[in-house]
This record gives sequence, C-alpha cells and structure tokens, in this order.
Amino acid sequence: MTKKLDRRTFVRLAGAGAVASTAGCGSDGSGDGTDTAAATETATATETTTETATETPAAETYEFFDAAQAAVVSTLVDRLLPGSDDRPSATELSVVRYIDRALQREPFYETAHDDRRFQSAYEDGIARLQDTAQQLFDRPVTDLDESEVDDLLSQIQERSAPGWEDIPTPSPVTMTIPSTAFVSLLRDHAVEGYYAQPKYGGNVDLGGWRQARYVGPFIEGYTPDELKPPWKSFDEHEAAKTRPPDLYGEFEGGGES
Amino acid sequence: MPDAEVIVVGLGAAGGVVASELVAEGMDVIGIEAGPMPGTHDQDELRNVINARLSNTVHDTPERYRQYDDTGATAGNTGKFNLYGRCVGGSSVHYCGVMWRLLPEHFNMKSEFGELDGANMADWPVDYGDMAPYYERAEQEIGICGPDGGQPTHPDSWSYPMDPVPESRSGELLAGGADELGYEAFPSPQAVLTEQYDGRPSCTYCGHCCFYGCYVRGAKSNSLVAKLSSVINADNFDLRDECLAKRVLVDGEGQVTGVRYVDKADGTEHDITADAVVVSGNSIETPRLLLNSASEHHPDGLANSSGQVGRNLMFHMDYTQIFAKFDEPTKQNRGTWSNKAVDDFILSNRIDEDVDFVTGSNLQLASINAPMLYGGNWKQLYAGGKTPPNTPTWGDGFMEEMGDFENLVWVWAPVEDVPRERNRVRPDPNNRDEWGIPGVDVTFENHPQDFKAQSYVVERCKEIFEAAGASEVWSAGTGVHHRGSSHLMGTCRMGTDPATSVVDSYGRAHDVDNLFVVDGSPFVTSAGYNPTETIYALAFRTAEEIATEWV
Repeated sequence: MTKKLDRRTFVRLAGAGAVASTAGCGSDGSGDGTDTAAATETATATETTTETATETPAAETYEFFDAAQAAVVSTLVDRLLPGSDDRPSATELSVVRYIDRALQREPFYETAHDDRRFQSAYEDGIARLQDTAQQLFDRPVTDLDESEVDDLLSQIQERSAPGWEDIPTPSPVTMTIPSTAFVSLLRDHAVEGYYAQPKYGGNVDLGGWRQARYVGPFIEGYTPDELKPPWKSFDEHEAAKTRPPDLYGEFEGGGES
Repeated sequence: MPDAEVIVVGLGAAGGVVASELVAEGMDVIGIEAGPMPGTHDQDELRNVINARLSNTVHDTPERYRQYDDTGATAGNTGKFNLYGRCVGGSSVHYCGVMWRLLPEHFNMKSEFGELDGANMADWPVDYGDMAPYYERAEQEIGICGPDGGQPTHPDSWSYPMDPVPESRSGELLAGGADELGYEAFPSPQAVLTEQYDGRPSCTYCGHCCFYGCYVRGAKSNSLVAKLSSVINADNFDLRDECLAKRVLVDGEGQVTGVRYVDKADGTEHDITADAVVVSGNSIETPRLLLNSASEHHPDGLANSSGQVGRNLMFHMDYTQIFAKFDEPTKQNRGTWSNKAVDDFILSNRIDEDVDFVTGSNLQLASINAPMLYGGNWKQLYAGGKTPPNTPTWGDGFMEEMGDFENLVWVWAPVEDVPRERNRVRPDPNNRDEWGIPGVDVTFENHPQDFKAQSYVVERCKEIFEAAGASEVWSAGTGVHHRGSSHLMGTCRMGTDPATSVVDSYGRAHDVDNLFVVDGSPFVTSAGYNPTETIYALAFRTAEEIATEWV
C-alpha cells in the first residue's frame, strides 16, 4: 500500500491547480519548484505496511509523521483545541491520529478533496515552525510552555513572526493552501479530528460530540417529540437507540438516494 | 435509424423527470450523466459536507471567476465556485429539498416593477396560471409535503399530498418571534415524506439532508427515487452514467443529430444519434456545452444567434446567513433541513413600508447538522465561519463557543438577485478539464439593489430573533459579490423573441427546433425561493410538449 502521494495523483492535482502553488508561495519567494520535486521523489520512495494502531494516544505510532513531527503536531493541536476540567484536549481525542490518516486517505470521490495534497505543506510547515521557535525562544516547539506555544501561534496568525510576514491567505474555495499557511490548515484538520466520526481516527468515544453537546446520528433518527424539549440526555439516547455501524468502522450501507 | 428518439444530457432534477416521462410514454431514450450512480448514503459530515462527495469537483469542470474589472485571458481566480450534483439524480440527491411555487409577480417582474438600470429585467413567457398544473404534478409525483392551503403569501390555495414536517424547537422560536412582530412563520414545504408515500418510507428526522443523500431510502424525494427508479430497467431506456457530453452534434442544416461524449471509464469518445436532444446540465454546464458546440451553422455556439447563451446568470445571494444563540438548547440539527419559513419579505410589493429595492427573499430555517460544520471550514462554499464575529478560531475561546453548538438557530435567505447581461458563463480554453473540454469563465457582480434587499431582510430576521429572546444575533456572508452558488439560474433565458431569448417557454431552442433546454437555465428572473420545484414543473411541462406536440 503506497502511503505517500503517488506521482500520478500529484501531477493530476498540480495540473488542476489544486496543489497550492507550493512552489513560489514560500515567504522567501524563490519559487524554484523544489517543493514539487521533493514531493515527487518522496512519493516513489515510501512504502509502509504498518498496521493501524489502536492503543492509547501515548503509545500511538504514526504512518505519515515521524516521531519528531508527531510531537510537534501534538504540542500544537493541544493549544489549538485545549482541554480543560470538563473537556478533553485534542490529543486525548487522538486528533493527531486523525491527521496522520487524513494525509494518506484516498479521496472520497475521484480526486475531489484529496488531503494527500497537503503532505508537503505539513512537512515544510513543521520544519519552518521549528526554525521560528528556535529564533523566537531558542528552543524547539516541543520544549515550549503553553503560553509560549500560544504566543508562537498568535504571531504566525498575525503574520508578525519572523519569516511568516507574507503568508498568503489560504482559500478553501480555490483550494490553494500554501505550505506557509500550514497553521490554518492544521487548525482546520484539528477541528475535523475532534468532531469527525470516530472511524477516521479522532473523536474517541464521541468525546468531541459530548463537548459540543451534540448527540449525533442514530439509525432510528428522532421522533417528533424529540424535536422539542424536554430533551433526553446523550446517554439516554445512546441506551435507547442504535448507532449507524459505519460511525465506528467500515461503511455497511444506509439508504440509496 | 438514430440510436434513440431522444437523448437527455444530464439526469438531475429536470433531466431525470424528462427522461422518465418520455420513457413512460414509450419513447426510446438514452440518458447520459457525467457522474456515477450515487450508491448508498451515510450521515457522515466529513464525506458529504466538508468534502461534498456527491458534487462536482474542480477536476470535472475547471472554473474561473472574475468581477467586471478583472479582464484578460487569465485574470480572475481559478478553483471551484459553484456546487452541483455529480451523480444520477444530480443536485436533487444532495439538496436540502425546500420546495416553493413562485408567486404570480415572479413571472412578471418587468411588468410589475418596471425597468431597472443595470439589470436585464423581463417577464417570463409563462405566467403562474400556466405553471400551476405542473407545480401540482411536481408536488404529487415527486412527493412534497407542506401546509394546507399552500404558502400563505399565495393568492390561491392548494393542498400538498402530505402534512408538513412536525414543529421543532427552532421552528417554535422563529414562529414566536415572527408573531411578536406581526409576521407569520409557516412550515416550509419540502421534498420530504412525512408518511409512507409511493412505496417509500417516511422521514425519521435524523437531521442529515443538505449535502447528504437520504439515509432512509427515498424519504427525501428526488428525481432518482421518485421518477428514474421506476423506468431504470425499461427496455426503451439506456442510462449511461459517468459519461460526459463533449458537444452536441448538428447536420448540414444546423439541426441537432446527437451527442458526442467521453466515457470516463476508459476515456473513449462516442457519437450517439437521436431525433432530438434535451440538455439538462444546469446554468453552468448547459451553456458550457452549447457554447462548446459551435459549428459552421452556429459559429457563436449552438442556439446562440441571440448572443444570450451564457448571459443573465443568477445565483441568489445565497451566502446570506443569519444566526441566533439562545440560553437554552434548540437542538436545531434534528429534523429536516428547514422547519419553518417567513414570507413577509419575499418581494418589495409584499413589504408594508417603502423600500429602495424591488426583489426580496424568503427567510427559511436551515440546519447546521454537526459540530464540525459550525467550527470547521466548509471547503466547498460559504467560505468563512458561522461562529459569531470576533470569536477566536482556536484556543479556550473557540472551545467555549463550540460548547454552545446546541443553542443555535440558523436562518438562510436566498435573496433574489436581478438578471444582468454582463453576468455570464463562457468557455475557458485556457482552463480545460482532463478530457480536453474547456472549463468555464464566469463573470459576475451583484446589482446594487441586491445588496439593499439583502441588508433589509437580514435586519428583519435579526429583529425576529431578538423578539424570540435570542441572547446573541449575528449574520454572515453579507455585502459581498457572489461568485458561485448551488442555486444556478439563467444563461438560456426563455422568451418569445428569438432576438433576446434562447428558448421558448417549453425550453425549445428558437434556433434549432429539435433541441430543448430544461433545468434552471431558462429562468428569466431568480425569485427569492429555492428554485427546484419550478425546475421540476418546467421539466414536466417540457416532457409533455415533447411527447405530445413535438413527436
């Protein structure tokens, strides 16, 4: 199973303008196309057969991220979506596992929204962020305390961090998400991982839905009475109804049109 | 011997109805559809909404969008701006299913309101009376639920075949606020089965309508379950999915002879022949195909002697969204897409004060059916968040906002935009799809009156929410020129004068009498209502014309 973006897909995406002008959008403006070349090379080199891990997040092994990259992403997502006494943090819901899988996932329909196109944005973005942390704090991201990570993320978002002054605004409509807009991309991916159906690797035990007080889908749907108060609790609904099986795993079929 | 009597290009709301009706009449029909059969459906917001698996992709139809001052061959932004179905059943598979008859005035905008500088106002060549029997067929044969007496703003009265959807908490809140201010909220008519109907089961109010195919097979009515499924195995119907029309073929006299298409499975091209061709793409794909079918007889594009093919594109101001937050849960994600609507601002002549615009809008409850769609980035459309302005996009403040997800109410307003000749679709030879077919170059700017109508209805909606006791009220998507939509109208305007319109009231091209267009393209004006019931009604009318008069 090829995990990284294969060459044909990359070329097809690039040709259609969906690969974010990775070349040329770097803050140095060199635009020499090295990103494209690198991604293509990586694509031919990587084969992995690691089975999906289901252990606790702490013991998680990843297929796209190496350990150092995963540590940086973990640090960042826990500040983007922080936990508190009454809600889990991003890593507690395995958001990093979600992102790791999203970056290797087959598109849902042809090449519609192929998150594999963001692989190089992650690789470059993480490296760039490490450099910035070093410049600002003399330490790598993973050694920063919470307020320093917040400061780093804010400075990037405000385009005041060194080397991040010219970040193009990512456009979901035109699907251009340059490497330098990595933090916006990471934020969107983190939200997806926190709230997506658990089969994609995040939202463990529906913790994201509980945080939003969303009960989620059941095969039975809702009776007219359940469209108005008094509301039954999350657990009362869970006890009385059946979850669609594909919530947690492979799709087993719902209605046809 | 041609391969078929009729080829239908595009099997969406309109094409699905026309193909099914003609097959049922015994005619030999080939239907081609660029997308696949949609298959089974789930309630997964990531697949269906964030990634819009049932819709077109940038690879299917490359789009370029530009405003008026964005000139030159490569100016503008490329990407994906419009959203429409790419499967058998088309957008009717993933639509929200809110259904309306237009009001009598909507067919006579020029007579009612006069000319408007910078707009291309006109009357439709049909009036409400002409359309009423076909609206009724759409309601009966597609399966539409709604309130007794129909829309309260309507002068006549009719019955839907099913009771409306049961009231939800958000419906109750909207109705309370409207009542407080002297307006009237009523149940939104919808292509939703509230009882077993035509062999299909009733809705379970699971809350996954818009962008999703129906999890309960057929409880959301569309052209696939209501029409195509009954003829799909007929001997006189040949349905070819994943086949992309490349051009409409003509003979030495300029008459249509068939269609050239690409079979996406292997990339091969095929020519098929027929006595007539019905083009039912949508207001983007239909002009794209006609203009890409230029020939010796039709140098400016097929059926385009008027120069009007591709012009008068309308979108609705469908980014318009108004939100309210309450202190108690609303659970607005349960039930169907839309529970209730307010029609008091549907047209300027229905508004009880003087206003400086002519159109208006329906206000309809909508649904944010999962938390990801509140805090996440809809990669498809309505770019920009739905959370209140100045809400942090990350950190503790963001998480706290997400904790209020179940206390929301969302109203959506499809504000009527007026037609403008300069708002147009053209083929873009510099931006082709992977089969070499030119994509589209869309030029669009809203008329100033559109913005006035938008701010008026947004303010009224905010007042309704405040009267309903909302603790916070805000809007999104206002004040910007639209650059795409899922409500695609215009580009092959219907009319009686071949110099100023493309097709007649039956969708028959003025220039070519064996070519028909039926989808949103013949719309003359856009009306402040979801367009699909009118598209269905036009399709029943065109099918009847082909089967009785044209044959």
